[in-house]
Amino acid sequence: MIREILSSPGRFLAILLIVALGVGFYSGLCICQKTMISSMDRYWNKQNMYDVRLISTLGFDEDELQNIQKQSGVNVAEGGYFTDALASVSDAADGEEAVHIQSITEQVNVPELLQGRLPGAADECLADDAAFDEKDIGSTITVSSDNTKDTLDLLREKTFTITGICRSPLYMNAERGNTDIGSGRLSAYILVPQKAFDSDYYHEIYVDAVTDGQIYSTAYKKSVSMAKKALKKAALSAADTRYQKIMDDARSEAKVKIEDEMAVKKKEVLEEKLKQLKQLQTAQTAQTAGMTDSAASMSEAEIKKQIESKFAVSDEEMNRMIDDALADADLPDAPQITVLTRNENAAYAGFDSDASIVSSIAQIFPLFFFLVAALVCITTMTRMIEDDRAQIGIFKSLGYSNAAVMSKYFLYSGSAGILGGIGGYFAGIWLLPNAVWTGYATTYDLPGKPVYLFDLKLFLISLAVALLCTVFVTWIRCHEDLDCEAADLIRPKAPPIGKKILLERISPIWKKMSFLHKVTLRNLFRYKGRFLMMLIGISGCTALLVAGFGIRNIFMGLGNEQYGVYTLYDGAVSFTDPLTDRTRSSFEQDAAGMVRSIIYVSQHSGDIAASAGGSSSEITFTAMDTDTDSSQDDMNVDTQTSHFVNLEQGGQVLSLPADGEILLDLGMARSLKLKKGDQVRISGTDGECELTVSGIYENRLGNGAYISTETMEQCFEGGAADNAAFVLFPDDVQVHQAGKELLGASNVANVTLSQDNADRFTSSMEGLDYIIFVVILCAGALAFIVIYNLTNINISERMREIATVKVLGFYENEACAYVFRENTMLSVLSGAVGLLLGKCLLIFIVDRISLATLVLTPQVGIIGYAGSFVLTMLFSWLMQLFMRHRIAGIHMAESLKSVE
Amino acid sequence: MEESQSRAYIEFSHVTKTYRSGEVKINALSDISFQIGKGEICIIVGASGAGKTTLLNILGGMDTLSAGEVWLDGNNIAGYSRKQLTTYRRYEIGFVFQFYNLIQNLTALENVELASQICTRPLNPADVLDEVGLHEREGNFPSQLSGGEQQRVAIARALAKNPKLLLCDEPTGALDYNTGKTILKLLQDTCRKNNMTVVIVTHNLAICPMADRVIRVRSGQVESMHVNEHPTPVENIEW
Repeated sequence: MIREILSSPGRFLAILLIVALGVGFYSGLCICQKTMISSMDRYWNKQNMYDVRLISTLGFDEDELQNIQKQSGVNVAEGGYFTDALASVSDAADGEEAVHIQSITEQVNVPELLQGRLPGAADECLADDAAFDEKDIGSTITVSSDNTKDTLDLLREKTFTITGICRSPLYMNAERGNTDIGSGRLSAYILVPQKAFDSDYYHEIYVDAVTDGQIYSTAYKKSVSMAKKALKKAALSAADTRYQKIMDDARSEAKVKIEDEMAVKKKEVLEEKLKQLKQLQTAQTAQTAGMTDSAASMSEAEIKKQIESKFAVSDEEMNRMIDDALADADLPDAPQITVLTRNENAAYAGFDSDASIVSSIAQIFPLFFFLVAALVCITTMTRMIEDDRAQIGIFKSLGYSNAAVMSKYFLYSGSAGILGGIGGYFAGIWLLPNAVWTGYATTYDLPGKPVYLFDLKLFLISLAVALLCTVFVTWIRCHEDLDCEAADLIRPKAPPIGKKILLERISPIWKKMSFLHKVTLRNLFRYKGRFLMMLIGISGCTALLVAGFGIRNIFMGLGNEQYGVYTLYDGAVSFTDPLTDRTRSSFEQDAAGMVRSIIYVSQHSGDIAASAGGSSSEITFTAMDTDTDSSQDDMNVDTQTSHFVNLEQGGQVLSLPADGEILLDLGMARSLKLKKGDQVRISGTDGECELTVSGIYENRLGNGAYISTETMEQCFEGGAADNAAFVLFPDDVQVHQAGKELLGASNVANVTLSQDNADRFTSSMEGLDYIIFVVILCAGALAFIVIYNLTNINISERMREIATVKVLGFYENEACAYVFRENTMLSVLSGAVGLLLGKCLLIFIVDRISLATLVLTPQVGIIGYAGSFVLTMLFSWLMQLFMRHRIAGIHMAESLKSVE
Repeated sequence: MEESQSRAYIEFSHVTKTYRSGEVKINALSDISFQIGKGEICIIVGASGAGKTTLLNILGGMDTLSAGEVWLDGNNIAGYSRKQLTTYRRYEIGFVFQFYNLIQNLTALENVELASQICTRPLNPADVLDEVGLHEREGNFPSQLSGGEQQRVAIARALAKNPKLLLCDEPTGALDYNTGKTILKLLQDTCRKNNMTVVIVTHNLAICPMADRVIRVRSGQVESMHVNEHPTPVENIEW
């Protein structure tokens, strides 16, 4: 058997490799999601990422922190400080950027030190590995004096020296988040020691709770939900207690003050009255002293008593007075505790769905490879059995049983299958998660390597499939042949007879064809099985390429499509406070000239769900203000919404929603399974509404809903007032410059540039290229294996024919062309079929990758199709080149000797 | 018919062919020399394994020689490169095999066309087929032809190339007595008519009378060479 393998290693390898490919893909893709989640889980556990995060409007004092720590179900509770500030890096010429400054927590959210050392002094810090690297150690970060007083007061230090670069479990994503300062985007975070902050109260408490299960598992969700409830209750009660104390303190302070005031006043009046009494005593009559008779007749004690009672205040009155006094004082409102979980962490939220994308396409690829593997095995084993035909006949005539004869072939294909299966499995579970991990590394800041999981069940299934494709297939094939009589087998098998093909009947075409082309066509149809296999294999290769290029095309184009076709405004402005006439006009005074046109909108974030039921999602609602005029002559307030947003469906422009209606984006509509005319329920800070979907507009990225101003007012407090605007910049300005200028206008809190959004999205897609490369490799491997196998078999079978042709005097080129012409024709045909298949595959994949925030339209683009086709032809041609030497090596004399 | 030139039309001069298999050397041909004249029918006889086929293969440019010279019409092919040998085979040689070696996927006519396509001065395929008497069978595939008919197609294919030399390796080996005779007659007639040189390799001594020259080969060497002054027409030979 070993001899058999060694004599024709090519065949054995072909089966082995194709099985490996199929198994590799299957196991790799299946395990991907698990691997990714396990790896993240492991990392987050190692760094002890928080389970619950508490934020209070009052902040937390040390007692409250201890209170949380004492709660059952809490492992560790740690308090933290944070702020966003404008800062500059020592050597950078870029000026100021918005930076998130966070205190280092030592037991929860432990940062992973990558280079350098931990900060010791208060003016040292760890820097974000996404924005800084090793050479930045030693540079200083200076907090700008442009920050608000509150921010500046909060930080004891204004300069921080970078002592080390770190990766924080809180920022596993490339996103650093939004803020109210600067350009609205945070560029980086730095971690500083707690003592760098000057604050009486913690801004947040991070809790590491006792939880069950892996991230995203039901067990985990359950344990967090329970912890959340308990902790909120505990925190609220402690906060209330403190609040009560604050209020009580304030009240008693006020009371004391009032009493003091009253006492002073009382004293004054008493003195006055006593003075008057004295005057009376020295005067003659009451009139002289200017007092009334009744008053004059009072003694000192009586006067005192009168004043006492005049100034006596009931408790009620006293409270009222305290209330009045406090009303003007700057006292906080009752505390509100917000409890956050990991779901509010950008990386955590996105990772789950991102990890699942891969497995949703896991089903179809391996299936295809297994099919090809089965075909390769059939043809190879057929060839082997044909070659051994006489030998098999002899064995049978000698009396060997079918089983004994077949066993050789089972062993051959079985061993190839098992070796391929094992090799493929381990290669697959190593390569594919690695590839995907690396591919995701641009979007997520992932540590090192993923966890490699060995899944026994998967392993056994893989082997079973591998054996199915090889041994079972062999059995089917053997069965046929071995049913023949021994005598039949010993006689050489007649070669398949030549037949006229269909095309020949169309004589005008047939006559015009070159002779050698006729040969090729006849050959194609002569071996239908191989024809089919080549078709499947090559078209599969092309289909893979088309799908790969298509995916890349879709994703790369999304950013530009969204911001080129659908979102037309250059920038979105958010105002510090909802605009009043006065603030609007002072804004316009500053901004006129900076923008080409502007439209005011009201935007609020709330929840939306289908009235019919189902989960709710968070979404931003926008009400467009279509009737505000500008206060300035040179400020172009546009009321044509279509200049700013393209709200269309199937080419038709949609009108803005009336009262009771809502316009929803395609992504969200798909995700909530809504169509025009359906009812939805929206809820905001101030109320809920039932609305009818009046239209679904097309978009590619993100979600957004449009509602009327009345609806906005109903659901959101102060919803009717404009708190944002869309702007178009003049054509000849640099958008970033314009955005920065606009940020300086009165009342402007934040300017978000569409360009930035588009760029950010496109750059996050760069990891795709890596994955596409892997796809191309696999497609190539598929093509190579199929072509190699077929050509090999072809040549083996037609050795005499090729030798004859060489004897006739065909040059090497001509002899090769004789054999390969049909390969080429078949490749071209298969390639064409593959283009079609690829499009179908792409549609299938896009259907599986359904995310609410992305709308994917399966489009490949000319380059995709052309590239796929060209690559397929290239693979085919390369293989032919490789096989040429086999043809050249056919020894004429040897080949023509055997019995026909 | 002797050539008046210094060299014969076909000449083997001290030709040796050695096969090496590891350490073992096998001499298929040892220092063989002979001549054949133009337009002759030459039969090479010998027992199985004597080296006749090797001889033919070398003459036909299908195999290389280890030592010596091989001349055809004034050209020594001993030093030819692979490409040159292919050219040599293409234009100068027509081959007929024991087992026909027709392309199964082509009709009789197309098999002949295959050969005529690559030559510079080919004969018309249909005409040649007609000459071998297979006009009605032009459109049939080899599987639809009898052994004799297939061999005739093979001969037609070889002839269509209009070669200088027709080499036949046991052409009647797979055919019955009568069919074999027909084939041999065809070869003889063609030779006479076209003044073509024909070399036939066989182990059947009985047909030697039809030849102009008989070369006996044994153990890789020429045992004897004998010129027939009056070759017998095939139809008169019985065996």
